[in-house]
Amino acid sequence: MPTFFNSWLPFIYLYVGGGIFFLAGMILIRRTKAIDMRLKRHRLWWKILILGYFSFAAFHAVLIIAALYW
Amino acid sequence: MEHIRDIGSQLDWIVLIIYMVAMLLFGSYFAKYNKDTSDFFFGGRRFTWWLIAMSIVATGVSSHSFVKYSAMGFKYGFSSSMSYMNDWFFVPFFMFGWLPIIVYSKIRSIPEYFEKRFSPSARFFVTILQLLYLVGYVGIGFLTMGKAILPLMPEYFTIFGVQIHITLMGLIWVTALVVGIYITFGGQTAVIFTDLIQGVMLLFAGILIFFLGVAYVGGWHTFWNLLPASWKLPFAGLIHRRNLIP
Repeated sequence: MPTFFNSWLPFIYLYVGGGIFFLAGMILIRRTKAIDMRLKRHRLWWKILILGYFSFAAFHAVLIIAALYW
Repeated sequence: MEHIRDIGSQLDWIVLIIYMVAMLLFGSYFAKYNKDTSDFFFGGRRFTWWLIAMSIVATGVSSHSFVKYSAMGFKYGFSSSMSYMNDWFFVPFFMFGWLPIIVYSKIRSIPEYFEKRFSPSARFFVTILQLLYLVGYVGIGFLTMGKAILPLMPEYFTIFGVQIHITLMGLIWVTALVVGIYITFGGQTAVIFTDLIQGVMLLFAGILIFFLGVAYVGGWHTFWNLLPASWKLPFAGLIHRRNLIP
């Protein structure tokens, strides 16, 4: 059975460590007004970006659970 | 290392030759659409997004995907196929930072951007860096393609009484020549349309190989249970010590 270091730690590294970069990017594009939330298509992409982050995280979490317990 | 040769049938060779000739003719056909540099580099900016997206996918998926990922997957498990999984974190920067600069400044290449932003010497330096990168990138594509085709080939063939030996470098040269010709004449339009065909083929073949492989080992249940848990994990372990890897 793989240990925590080989299963969940890489997940935490990717989605917490990488999440900091992602969050920094999201804050920057809002602050610099690169994304204009008055525009419908920009609002859509904002939602897609957030949804994408959680979708990837969920996908990888399911793969880890499958590897460990299924 | 043992070299496997001659496992292909005559039908395989005929399909390969027809494919090469068809791609050459099909790609070169688009030469008539190239009237200026905008046509050559951008296909006249006339293509819809999904065609361009398919071209990008076909560029990313190539012979090296099948050879490299199969080898790494066999050696280390699923984690070796997750190379680009951290890309999402840079997508906000890319979509709303970098991409608008590229699109609205109408530049034709990355080095051109560096010239506009910095200086002609920056452009020169970036061109050298890109060439160095592409030599490796294109080179590994050709090498893996040659390694995938070579086992199908006989040691030699005879044409008009002349015996020609088939070597890895020979295959690479022939493919480079075919691709070089249709890209030179057909430009980006040829790349997009040949990519469309090849992209569909590569994705279809990739999915088909996966299912055939799973069926070959006895179905999904057998396949999944054959794998050690560490091979099923999507990420490589952060601490790689012998006693931690089962």
